[in-house]
Amino acid sequence: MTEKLSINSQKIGEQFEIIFVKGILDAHSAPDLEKFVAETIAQGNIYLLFNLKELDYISSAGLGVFMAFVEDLRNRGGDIKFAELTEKIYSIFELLGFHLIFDIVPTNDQAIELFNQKKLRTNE
Amino acid sequence: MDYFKTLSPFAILLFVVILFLLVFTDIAFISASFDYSTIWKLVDWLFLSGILGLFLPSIKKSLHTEVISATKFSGRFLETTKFLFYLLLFYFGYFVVISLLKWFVSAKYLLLFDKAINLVFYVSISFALVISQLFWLSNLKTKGAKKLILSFISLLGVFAFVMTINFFFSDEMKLEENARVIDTFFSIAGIVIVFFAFKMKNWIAISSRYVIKRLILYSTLMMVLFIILLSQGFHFQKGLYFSNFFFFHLTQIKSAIFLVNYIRVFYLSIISLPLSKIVEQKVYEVNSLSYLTKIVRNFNKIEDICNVITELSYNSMNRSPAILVFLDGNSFEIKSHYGLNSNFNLENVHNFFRNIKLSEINTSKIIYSLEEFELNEDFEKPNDLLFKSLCIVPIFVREKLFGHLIVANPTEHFFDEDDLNLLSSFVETLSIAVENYFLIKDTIEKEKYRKELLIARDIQLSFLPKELPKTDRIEISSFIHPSEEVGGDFYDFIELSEDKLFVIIGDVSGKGLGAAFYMALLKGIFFTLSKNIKTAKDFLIQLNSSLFRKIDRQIHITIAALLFDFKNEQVEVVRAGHLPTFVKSGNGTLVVKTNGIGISLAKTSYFAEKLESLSLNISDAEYFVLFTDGLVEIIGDKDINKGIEKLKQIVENEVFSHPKELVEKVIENVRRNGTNFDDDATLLVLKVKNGKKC
Repeated sequence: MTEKLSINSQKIGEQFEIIFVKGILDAHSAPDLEKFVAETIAQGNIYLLFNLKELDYISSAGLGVFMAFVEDLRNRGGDIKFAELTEKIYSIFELLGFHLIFDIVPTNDQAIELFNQKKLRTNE
Repeated sequence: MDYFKTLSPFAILLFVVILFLLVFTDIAFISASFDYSTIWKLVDWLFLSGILGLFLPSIKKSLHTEVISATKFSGRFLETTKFLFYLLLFYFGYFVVISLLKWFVSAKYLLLFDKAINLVFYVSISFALVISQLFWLSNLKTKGAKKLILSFISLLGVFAFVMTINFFFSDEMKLEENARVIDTFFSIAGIVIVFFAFKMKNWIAISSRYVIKRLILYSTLMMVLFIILLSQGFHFQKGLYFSNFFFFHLTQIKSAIFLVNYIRVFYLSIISLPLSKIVEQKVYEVNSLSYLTKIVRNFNKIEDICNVITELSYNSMNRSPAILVFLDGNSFEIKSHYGLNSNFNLENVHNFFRNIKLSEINTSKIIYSLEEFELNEDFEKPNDLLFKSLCIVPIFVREKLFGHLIVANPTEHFFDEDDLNLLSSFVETLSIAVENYFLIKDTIEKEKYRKELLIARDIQLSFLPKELPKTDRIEISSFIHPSEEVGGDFYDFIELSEDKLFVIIGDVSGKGLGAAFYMALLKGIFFTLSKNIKTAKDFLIQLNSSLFRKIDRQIHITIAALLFDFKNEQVEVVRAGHLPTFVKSGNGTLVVKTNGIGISLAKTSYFAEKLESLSLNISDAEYFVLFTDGLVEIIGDKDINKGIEKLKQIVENEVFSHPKELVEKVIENVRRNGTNFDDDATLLVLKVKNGKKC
């Protein structure tokens, strides 16, 4: 793992994990995140919440990581959501239209709430 | 001591012959009571010139290189044997002349003449003798010693000169006094020389065996000579005293002093001889290490270094066969060997080591006898044990066990710790060499890859429009700075019809070859789609539909497009995930940031639903500025928002008449932030020519 990027995760519930991404997510560090996410999904998690509170920089390659997984997860009933984006990161998400593709919420709790609703719907 | 190397065996032989002549003639002439003064003179001269002949080349060399760049002793006098030959001729001639002169000249004058010649010769010979002894001290390499020798020599020269001059203006009695003074002087010189010789460091001990052997030979010779001279003193005292007073003194006083010196040299040489073997070994080791270092700096093949190492190991381990193996999993490959012969041939050695688990030996070790070594059952007979002592040093490259340097000997307890240390330093050098080799190989490969990337980059850049569209309504200026690698920025101008111009700028996400290929793909798609474009929005929707789920999910493409309709005076501004477009007019700068998802990020239905477009009057705008993230990232110091803001200020505040000026202004700003482009940077500036319409 590169020094620029640090990734931690926290299990919230069944198939549900919060991933904290800190530092710089660019073409060099994107593969690290990709590997991490792939492992998380391999463990059976389909609800992924990315907390980007301490993410300082994201490049288009970094954004590509999320795109790589979202479709697969959605097909399996899961999803990717983002929480606590800084203004700077949000504006980049907005430019690319990510806010139209993903749920971006202010807090972790709100995201958990949304996931739970989705879970209920899926179970029904 | 090059000095001793210059002594040719023939010269020494000649010298010995002269020595024996001296002794034999002495005995012969004493028994026959014959006036042998003239004969004796000849013998004296032969002896003295023998010494001179022996020392001359080294004196000349030393003078030439160290003291005076004298060319006096040049030409044929350089060679000792030739010089001796000429001297012999000269003596013979002199002998004949003196014998003949006896018949014509009165004895008194003849004696005076003879003594004069003798004195000059004596002084010069003694001079040479003392100088040669002084050069013995050349091992005293301190400046003081050199100065001392120099001043001593000058003093000697002046003294000899004065004495010689004095001789010609004095009578016979004074002559003998002179001789005594000269003798005393030379005796003191001898004592000084011996004193310094004793004071100097024992350089003999650290000399090579070759030099020491020469020293023993030389000092033995000199000892014999001086012993003979001393013992013979009384025998020919009478004859000598009258015929050659000076030589008598020389032999009696100085011989004793020099004898002491030569005894010392002899003694030191003898005791140093066994040591010299060790000295030679150490010298070889030091030399081999420095040689190895030189080789490592400049080598082509690893094999070359391996061969050098085995050869050096063989020589420094008393001719024990050396083998260098590289591991390959559990097996091994003998990369180089040295010193193998019919007893230890390659096949035997291979069999021998097959039974030793080399891959498990990762520390340096000495095997004193093979009993302590675990061997496979295959080895039953002790006769098959080729070697009984082994010195094994593992080679590590990039912290991985790479192979071993093994030196083997058929006798037990052959190696010691010192041997192991030396071999370890050889191996250390080899490791560095191998590591460097890999490093260079990697670098070359990377360089090759980089060059191919550059070619790809050139091809990619050739996709960009070479000519700007021919329209009188718009002036365009563009700037693209490709990052070192191939990248994904592109722009294109498509003239749809006479009054429709389509301008696209875009960026394929990511860097490298992947992005570059998509960019090439896009060029083709543009060409196909552009044939029936109605609106810019339409174009982007179609583009998304042709790319969604067809390209790598991680790749996405952002595009900003302008569709100019000069007929209807309208321009359509659209954006799919790309950075906003600036539209500058008299009222300020409009940042067009309509909604739009990046190409290939969403299903086409959803993509189309969210895509917005904006229509403007062409004449309302003065400038359109389009750019990619690489550009604003540099301007904004990695912060895109800041970069957009800064670029907007430049566009807004600067006054310019041609789009090129704006481009230059922006480039200037980019340069100010350093030229380190992480990504492609592209800028398009379009100026609407309103006034010139009519």
